[in-house]
Amino acid sequence: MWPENPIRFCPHCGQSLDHPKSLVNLFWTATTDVYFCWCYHCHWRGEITPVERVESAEVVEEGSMAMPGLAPSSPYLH
Amino acid sequence: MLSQERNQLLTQVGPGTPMGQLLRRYWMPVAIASELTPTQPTKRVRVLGEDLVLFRDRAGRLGLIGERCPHRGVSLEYGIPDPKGLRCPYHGWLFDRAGRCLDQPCEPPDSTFKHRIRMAAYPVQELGGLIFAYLGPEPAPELPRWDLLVQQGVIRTIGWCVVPANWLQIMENSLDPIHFEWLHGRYFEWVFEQQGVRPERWTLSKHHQKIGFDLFEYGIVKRRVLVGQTEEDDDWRIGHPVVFPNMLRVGDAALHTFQIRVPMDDTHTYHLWYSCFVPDPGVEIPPDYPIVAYENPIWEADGKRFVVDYIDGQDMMCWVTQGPVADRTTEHLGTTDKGIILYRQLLLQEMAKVERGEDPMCVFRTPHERIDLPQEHSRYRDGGQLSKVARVWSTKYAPNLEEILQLVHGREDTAMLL
Ligand code: FES
Ligand SMILES: [Fe+2]
Ligand SMILES: [Zn+2]
Repeated sequence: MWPENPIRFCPHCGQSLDHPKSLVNLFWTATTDVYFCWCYHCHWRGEITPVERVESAEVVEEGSMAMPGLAPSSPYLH
Repeated sequence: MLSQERNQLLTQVGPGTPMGQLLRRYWMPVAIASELTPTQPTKRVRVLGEDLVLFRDRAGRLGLIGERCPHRGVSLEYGIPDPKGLRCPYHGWLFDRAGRCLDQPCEPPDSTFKHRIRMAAYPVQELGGLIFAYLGPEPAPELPRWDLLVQQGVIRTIGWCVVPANWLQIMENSLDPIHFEWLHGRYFEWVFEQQGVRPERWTLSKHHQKIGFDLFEYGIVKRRVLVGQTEEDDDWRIGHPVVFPNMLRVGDAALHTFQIRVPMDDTHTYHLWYSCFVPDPGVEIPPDYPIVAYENPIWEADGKRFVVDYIDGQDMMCWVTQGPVADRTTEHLGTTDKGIILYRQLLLQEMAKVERGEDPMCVFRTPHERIDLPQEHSRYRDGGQLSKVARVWSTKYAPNLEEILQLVHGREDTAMLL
């Protein structure tokens, strides 16, 4: 069933997304509920996903230099 | 999944509804021109929740007026054509194309009663073998001259069907590219198995590796990459469009088609399959070959089972079994359904334009010769694939299909998948 009050306000303009002419369309990926939203008031469009469990999408490989903002020669890297 | 309120907003098309107001900005085909003949010059038409009668008067002009005579409500479908319009069969009142009453033969000759009678009347125009009506606010925009409606040197057929389902689920089918590999691929293979038929190879089951959707000037372009293909193939590089709001364009080098979905009311859709057969290079076709119309069946003779041994019958089985209005409060959309979501968003976006007093997408105000749409040539790396399946899709029911195939190939047709 359609969940009650899933996403209520536009993250961009703060107006109500309950307006029926705004779009709040729920779909699923393997692990998450995703709300595709389009705001009638400001036309902002985006996807909103409740975070059930905090996970890192990509694990930095061991020995990797790929840390943003840190040069390979940085003294902070061991 | 949508709220009930949003499902209603997107599916209700009657006068006064927001979707009805958006759809009334467009010329809608309401008949195939050849349906109106000297002996049958009227057609009862239901469009966007209104009951109307289309007619050709004795001067050859088209009109579209309210179905019921304002006198005592008899259907003007049985009207008598007149040089100035259409007469009611019951007491002879005469109506013109503007919905005025010109004559009430049984009222006193000096009566002005007729001037007080007015009925609904809408502009109509004929193009490419179809009759289009405009039910929206004046001034009417230009009738779009989409390429196939005006294309020279092709042979046309027009299939039609009244589908007992809401228009939106039919359109959403066109934003769902992967149904092709299942419904027209694997499911068709199952139908063949049930029938004891063995097609040599059934390319429609090819697996989708990637699908994509892009907004363009006239709607949404759909793209696909099938197993063994790259983004250089036509299926991705060119793609084919859903023309806003209610038309699918699909085809290849040999066959160019529109599927047009006209909402009749919330639970019925007038569906047209407009097909243009392209002759092989160097083949001359007769210049005045007629446009043949035919009905596409939904039901087997028993009236219970769907006709599922042709592509469009399979689609109709899906549209109709979703229910008269698909319940989107219980659907479970996955990642392959994002085209459907994009289309819903586009509908709301264009609806908002109408509310602001602007013209929505695909309303044209300037006269034009022709509007070209993207056209794939080799779909599924199979060249003129669609004409190879002409015997198992809508055109299967064109009574002159074999003759057309012979004419466009300039020889006996052998290159069929079946
Ligand atoms: S798998 Fe899509 S409707 Fe059943
Ligand atoms: Fe289909
Ligand atoms: Zn907003």
